[in-house]
Amino acid sequence: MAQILVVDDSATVRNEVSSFITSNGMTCEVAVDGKDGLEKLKKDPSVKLIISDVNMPNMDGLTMVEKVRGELGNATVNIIMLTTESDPRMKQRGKAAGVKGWIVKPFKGDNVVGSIKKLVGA
Amino acid sequence: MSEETTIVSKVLVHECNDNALSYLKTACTQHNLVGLKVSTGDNSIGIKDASNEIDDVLKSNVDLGAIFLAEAPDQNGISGVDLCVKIRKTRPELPIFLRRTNEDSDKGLAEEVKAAVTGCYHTNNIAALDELIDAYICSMYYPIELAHGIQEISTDAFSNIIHDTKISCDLPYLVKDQIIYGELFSLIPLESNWCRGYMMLQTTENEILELIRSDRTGISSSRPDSRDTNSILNEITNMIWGGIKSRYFSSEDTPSDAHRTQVPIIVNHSQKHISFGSTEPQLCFKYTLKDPEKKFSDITLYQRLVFNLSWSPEKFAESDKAVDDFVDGGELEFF
Repeated sequence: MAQILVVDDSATVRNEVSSFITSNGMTCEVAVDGKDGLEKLKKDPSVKLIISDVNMPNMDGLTMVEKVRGELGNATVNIIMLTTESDPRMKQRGKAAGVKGWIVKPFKGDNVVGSIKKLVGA
Repeated sequence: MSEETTIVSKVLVHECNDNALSYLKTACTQHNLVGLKVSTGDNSIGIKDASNEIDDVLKSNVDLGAIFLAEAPDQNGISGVDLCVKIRKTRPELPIFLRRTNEDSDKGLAEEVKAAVTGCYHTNNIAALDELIDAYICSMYYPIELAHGIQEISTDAFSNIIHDTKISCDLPYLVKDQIIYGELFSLIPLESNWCRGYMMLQTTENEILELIRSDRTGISSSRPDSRDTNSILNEITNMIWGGIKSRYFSSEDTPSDAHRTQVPIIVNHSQKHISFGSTEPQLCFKYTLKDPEKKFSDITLYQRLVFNLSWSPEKFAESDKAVDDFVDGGELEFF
């Protein structure tokens, strides 16, 4: 039972974000791409927040979000994109798909820890 | 990088005539070339001759824009006529300019020499040398603002992924050669309506492994392997790519489908050589990452930008102005 699912193809980012989350008293699961993220969410639908990259192999982050809301019918999980992308069209697509917020990398945990805690109800 | 920074190119010079050397020095200054002079002196006391020295440079990781040779033999009897044929076999992508003694063309040269040299000049007609430099070394115009920005974005990316290191960068430079440095190599497309090509990052694996072991990255492992080094290079590449895209590619300037041509990229592992089909000079940066605590060896990273598919630098300024809202990294923007 994890509170947060971190989806990123980069092990560096997965380690950095998940270490930050656990060191702040929250629980965390990781996935290596959008496809893996969907599978992990199916197995653990109690996840409160997904922090996902956009550009990933196999399935990109925005497609995963669309599937979370559509195929899985999960309208409650909060989703934040953590990505190098800042293209307004990407953000618009994310917003339309039900993304709650957008962080342009690098991940600076101290800047967002309060918001993350609120989103998971911690 | 200061506003006075220029984009340079390193050239190898084998020349023993003082008058010609003086001309070359002037040309180098005018065209922002950095001349690396190889020995032309007597090697009877055991000093390496020009042939060996050129070999050494070509085998090393010195990125070159061109080679300047002279027809007249040096003190060891080594002539550019002999050297150019040898160089052409090992580094066919490098332009070779030959100073003729009595001609300003390739008239009278053997066929294999004609095939090996890119152009000939004579000190009586130095304008021909300028033309050769313009045509073969400085044929691609890279805006200095772009070079500044790429260096800044890249330095930020390195410091975000690799903690507590001192990062320095040589002057940006142009290269014609296509050698691959180190064992680790990343390649990512850069696409907009003013450029289409690739960015490459090249480095050595052992140094990155040392870096991970010294706990300076997001990866915690006392026994890191190639998956870890790949991950580091992957994320650095991704961050630089994202930074370039955000700053220089406006959201409307994606190239149309009609312009989505592609050419094969050829990698020759035995020659440690990569070809993008274009012979235009590439924009390069050499970064050195040093640990103030000396826990890991210096890391050298080469970054190359190859706009082999499309290059319209006159549109760069427009695109730069079009991107009016820079995004602060690390901040959460709620929708």
